[in-house]
Amino acid sequence: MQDKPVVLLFEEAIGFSKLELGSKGYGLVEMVKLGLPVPPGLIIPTYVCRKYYSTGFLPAELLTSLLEKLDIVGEKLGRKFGYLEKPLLVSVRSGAPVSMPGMMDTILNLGINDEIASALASETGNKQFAYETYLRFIKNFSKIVFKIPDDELDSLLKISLKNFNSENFSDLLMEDQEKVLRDLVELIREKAGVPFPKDPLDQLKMAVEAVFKSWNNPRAKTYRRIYNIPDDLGTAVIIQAMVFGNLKPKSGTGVCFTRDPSTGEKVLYGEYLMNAQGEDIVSGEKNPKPIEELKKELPEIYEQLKRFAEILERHFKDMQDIEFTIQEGKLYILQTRSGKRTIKAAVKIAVDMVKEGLITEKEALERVELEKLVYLLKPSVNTKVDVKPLTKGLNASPGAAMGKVVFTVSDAIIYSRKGEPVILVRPETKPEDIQGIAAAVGVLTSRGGMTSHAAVVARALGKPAVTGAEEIQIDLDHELFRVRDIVVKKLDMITIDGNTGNVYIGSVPLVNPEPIPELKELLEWARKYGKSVKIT
Amino acid sequence: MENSISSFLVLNYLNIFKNVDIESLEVLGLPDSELQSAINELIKKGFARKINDTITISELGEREIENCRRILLENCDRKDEFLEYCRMFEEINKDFKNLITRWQIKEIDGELIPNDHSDPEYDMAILEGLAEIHEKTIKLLDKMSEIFPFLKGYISRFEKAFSLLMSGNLGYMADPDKQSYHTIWFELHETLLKMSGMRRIE
Repeated sequence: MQDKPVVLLFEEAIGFSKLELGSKGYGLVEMVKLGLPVPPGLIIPTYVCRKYYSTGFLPAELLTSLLEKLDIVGEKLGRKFGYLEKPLLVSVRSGAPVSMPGMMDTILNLGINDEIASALASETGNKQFAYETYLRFIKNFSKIVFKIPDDELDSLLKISLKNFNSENFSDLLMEDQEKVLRDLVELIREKAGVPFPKDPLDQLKMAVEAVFKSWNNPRAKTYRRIYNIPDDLGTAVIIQAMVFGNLKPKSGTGVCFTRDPSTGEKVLYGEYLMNAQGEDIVSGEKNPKPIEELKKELPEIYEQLKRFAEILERHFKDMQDIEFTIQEGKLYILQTRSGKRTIKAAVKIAVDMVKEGLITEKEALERVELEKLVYLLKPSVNTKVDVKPLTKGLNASPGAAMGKVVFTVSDAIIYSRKGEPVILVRPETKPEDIQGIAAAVGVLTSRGGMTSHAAVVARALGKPAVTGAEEIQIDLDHELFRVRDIVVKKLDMITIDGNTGNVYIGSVPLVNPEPIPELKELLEWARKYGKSVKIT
Repeated sequence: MENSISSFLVLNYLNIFKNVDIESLEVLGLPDSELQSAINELIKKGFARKINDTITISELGEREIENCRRILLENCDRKDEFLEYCRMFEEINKDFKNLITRWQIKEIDGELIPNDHSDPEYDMAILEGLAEIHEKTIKLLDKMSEIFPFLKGYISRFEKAFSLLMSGNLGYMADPDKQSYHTIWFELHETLLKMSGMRRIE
C-alpha cells in the first residue's frame, strides 16, 4: 500500500487490475489504451477505500495528489479546477469491481459555485447553459451527498422561484437565476443542517467520502451478502473532466448498444438527445431520438460512433453498451460495459461472434444461460388456425400445453406415470396439489389471479398455467367441468395457452416459437462439450 | 388423540399435504423420538396409514384434525383476537403474492417475461420488500403463537428460509421442492384458513 499511488491518471492506470480500478474505471482505462476519445480523468483505486475503512480517514496525501493530477487533467483541455478562468468541472462516480445496488450514483458538474457559474456564462456566452449546469449540480450533489429526495428538492426550488413570480428556472433573467440559486442553497443548508460547500475542493472531498461511505450502506451490504461478494473489495472513485452535451450547438448525449439487445442483430441500436446531459435520457423527461437519426443529423459523428463501437466490441469480445456525449461537434465516449440482452439475443450474439472469430464455441456456451433456453422453446397455440377458444382465463405462466383433464392429484400422478400428459383442473390450488402440478403438463384453475399460489408454483416449475377461468364450473364429485352448456369430463383432451389465457377443447395445433437459426448450432455445441440443456 | 402438540402438528401437516414422505416431516422440527411416537400414535388410532416410507391421512384422521381445531378455537378465550390476526395475515398475503409474482415475472413493454435475475436493482427491491414482509409476519406469528403455541414452529422455518435466501440461495424464494419461503407460506396460509374457517381469497 505504501508504494501504491493514491490517485492514478487514466493513462497511469494501464496495467492495474479490475479489482484495483473497479469495472467502470477498468473500462475507461482500456478505452484510453485503444486510443478512443475519452474525457481525461483519474481514478482513486479500491485499496484507498479499504484504507479509508481501516483508519476512518481519507489518506493525508489524497487531496494534494488529487489537486496535482487534476492540474494535469485540466491542462489537457486548457482548463483548471477551481479557477474562474476556464474552470474545469468534473464528474465523480463510484466504481466497484462488481456493480451493486446502493452504491453512490454519479455527481455531475462538480467544481462550480456562484463565481465560477458567472465566469462560465461569460466564457461560453451561454448564460442559460452556465446557470442550468449550476442548478443541476446543486440538485445532484444535495440528493446524493445530503440524501435529500428529488421531490423535496423540487419543492425547495419552487419556493425559491416564488419570490420571482416564476415557475420555470430557465424563464428567469440571469441575475434572478443567480438569486434563485443563492436562495436554493440557503434552503438546502437549512434542510441538510450543514452549509452547502462553495469551495470546489470541499465539494470534491465530500463527494469522494460519499462514494466510500456508499460501499458500506445497508443496501450494498445486503446485496453483497446475498450474492457472495466479498466485503473487503472496496470501491474505486472515478473523477473525470465534464464534457457538455447541453452546450449548443452540435452538442448532445446518448447511449447505444453495438447489437440489438432484443434480437441480437448486428446493428447500432440506441437513442440520443441533442442539447442534453446523460441524466436527461435516463429520467425519461425528454423524448430521445433513435440512433439512426444521428446519421442524418450529424453523419460524421454517426460514422465515428459506429467505428468506435466496432473497436470496443472487438476488444472486449462482447456486445457493448456505450454512453457517449457530443460537445460542440466532438464525440466523447464516456463509458462502455457488456450490454444486457434477451435470451434470444444472447443466443444469436454468441453464435454470430463465434462465426466472426471473436470467441470460441466453449465461450459461446458460457455466454448463454442454457437453463433459460426452455423459455425460447415453449410452444404456443397457432393463432393462424381458426379455432375458437372454449373460454379464457389469465395467462399466469407462459407456454401452451395439451393434455387429458384430471381433477385430483392422485390421477395426475397415475396417468403421468403411464406416460399420458395430463392437465390438472382445480377450482383453486392448495398445498396438497403441488405434487399434482409437478406431475401435470399444465394447470387450469377457475379461481385465482396472476399472483395465486397455483400460478406461483406453476411458474416455479416452468409449467404453463391458466388461472381464474371464471366461466368454468367444476363439479369435483362427478369429475367434470362445464362452460355454459358444454361439458368436459375426466380424461377429455384440452389445450391451455399460458401466453394468452385461452382454453380449448381437444388438441389444438401448436407452433413452436419463431425459430432462431443460431439455436441449433448452439445446442450442437452444447452436446459436443457435454453440457446438458433442459428443453422441455 | 391425546392432544399432544406433536401429534397435532403431524396430523395438521398430513391434513394439508395428504400424503408425505416420512423424511419431509422433519421440517416440523420435532426431536426424532417425539416425531416417531407421534407417527406411531396416529397410526395406532387409525388417523394415518403408512405404506413404505409414505404416510397418508385417513378419513378418520381428517375428521379428528377438524374436530381438534374446532375445539381449540372454541375453547380459546382469545378467539376474536386470533381471528383478527388471521385477517391481518390475509392482508400481508396479498403483498407477498404480488412480490413473489414480480420475483418470477417481469413486465417489459406490456409483455410478461420470466425474471432472469440479471438486474440487481430489480431483484434487490423485491428482496427488500420481502424483508419488510418477513418482519411483519414474524411479529404476527409471535402474537399468534402466544395463543396457539403450535404455530411457533413456523417462525424458525421462515427464519431459516429467509436467511438461506439472503445468503444467496435464490431458490429459497419460491421453489416448490424446497422449504422455500413460498412453500412455508402456502402451508401456513392453509393452516390459518383451516383454523379460522376463513375462505381462501385468491
